[in-house]
Order: sequence, then structure tokens, then C-alpha cells
Amino acid sequence: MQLALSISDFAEEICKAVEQSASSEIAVANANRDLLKDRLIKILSTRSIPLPVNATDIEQTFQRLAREWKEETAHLSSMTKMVMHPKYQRIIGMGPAVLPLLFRDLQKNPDHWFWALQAITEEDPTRPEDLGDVPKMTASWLKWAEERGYL
Amino acid sequence: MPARLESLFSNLKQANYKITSEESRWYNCTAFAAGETHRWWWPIGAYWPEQAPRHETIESFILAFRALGYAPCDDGALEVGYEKVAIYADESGVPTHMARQLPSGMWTSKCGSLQDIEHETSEALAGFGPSAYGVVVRFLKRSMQK
Repeated sequence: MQLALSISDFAEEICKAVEQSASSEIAVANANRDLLKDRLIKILSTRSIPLPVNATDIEQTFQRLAREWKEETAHLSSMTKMVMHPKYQRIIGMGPAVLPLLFRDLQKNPDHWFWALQAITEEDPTRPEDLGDVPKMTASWLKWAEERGYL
Repeated sequence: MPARLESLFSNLKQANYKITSEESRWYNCTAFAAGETHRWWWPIGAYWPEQAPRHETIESFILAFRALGYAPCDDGALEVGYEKVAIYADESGVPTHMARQLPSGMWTSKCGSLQDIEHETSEALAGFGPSAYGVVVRFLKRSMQK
């Protein structure tokens, strides 16, 4: 995955966003702007904070990983092996940014994305009696997604 | 795509097999062995009979099929009046696949999300390559009398 912004650029973007937010109660005096940016760079450089990536990159990465995962696990019956597959784990690792893509894929081609959705959202709208039933699990997750504005 | 199945399972070509369905990601081998085609069966993250623990063990698979009337038996030889299933496991003893014997003596399997196939022997899908299912570790049977 390629990072679209350097840490410095990301800090600059945050500063601009704060400045452009007319309704924000956070006012950044010009004199303090550079100080804010320096502090942001320090924080972003020393802490494990996921950096933003370009939306197109996310979509392309997801599409590639999803295609390869489906191809490489097509012969498997073991749900454990399917969801522990490195490509599936990398999709989970993309975090909340990948949720809209997972839901759109689920809408078009219902598939076993439920483990990933549960891992990322820490929620599970599936009824216990529907476990394993892809159409019913899909319906529960799509309803969940609609209610939260993902679709 | 026969070539794909043959590349995954090196013993298959010699097993007089035929494809009997389209691909489907809605059910798997274990569901198919149990006679279902509408949901995925697995102890983790899928449907599993409540009579069996949600552990990925051979014992759990035996208990799941015991709930359907199956009991362990010695081998996969055709016995008139009985239906048999085979449980496959990898080198670690973790279940990987199930197949069901047809009245003809042929075996039928759903290969993950790929097609249903009929194959002459239960060994047709065995092997320890990157995609084969290991070996048959247990045969179970039940009477076909209702």
C-alpha cells in the first residue's frame, strides 16, 4: 500500500483543515501555526497512527486482495483457513476505511466477509440461527450498514 | 473448469471424476456431505449442529454427524443399505474436507467454493500438497432405512 501523504504533508493538511473550519471553536493564531505543525509532526512520527491513503489506492488494494483471496481459497471448506489467509488478514488490517468497499462487495457478490466485518466493527448483527447462511448473514450486515450510513 | 480441479488435486484425473454442479460460495463439503446446499457448515464461524462442540477436531465432526444418525465404521467399502461419509484431515489432524458415498459406490464432494464432483475413490482428493485435503481419517455410516 502506498502512502499518499508524507507525515509533514499530513500535518500541513490538518493545519489547513483547522484554519478552513469557520465554525470551529479552535482558532489557530498565525503565530502558533508552525508550532502546531511541528507538534503534529512529532506526534505522527513517534506514534503508531494509521496514515491516510488515497481512496483510489484503498479501492485498488482491496479489489486486488479480495480477488486473490477468493482465488487462493476457492478449494477450502475450512472457515478458519479462509479467514486466516494472509490476503484476508491484510483486508482486515486496512481497518474502517475498507468498510464501504466490503459492504459494496457484499451487495454485489455475497461472500464470507462477515469475519472481517466483525473484526473491524467489533459488532455482529447476525442472528445465531443464521450462522453459515450467506444470504441471511448478508441481509443482516447490509441492514446494519444502511442504518449507519455506509450504504 | 476441470483443469483447475486437476491442478489442485493431483489424484483426481485418475479417479474417473465428473463435475455435477456449478461453483457456489454458499455451501461447503461438510454441508453437502450432510445433504444441505443452502449454508456453510464448519465448527468456527458457520453453522454447526448444537450436539457437537465448536472445536475444529475430528471428534467434533464425528459428533456433528452422529446427530444425523451416523456412527464410525471400519472403511469406505460399499455396504448395501448404508450411506457412508469420509472425514479428511491434514498432517496435524485438523479436519479439512468431507465426502459422501453414493448408492453406486462413487463418492461425491463439494470442493470448497468450487463445484460438486463425483469421484471413484475417497483417495481422489487426498494428498499433502498445498491444496489437497490430507488423508481420510474416519469413515462413518448410517442406515438408509428411514
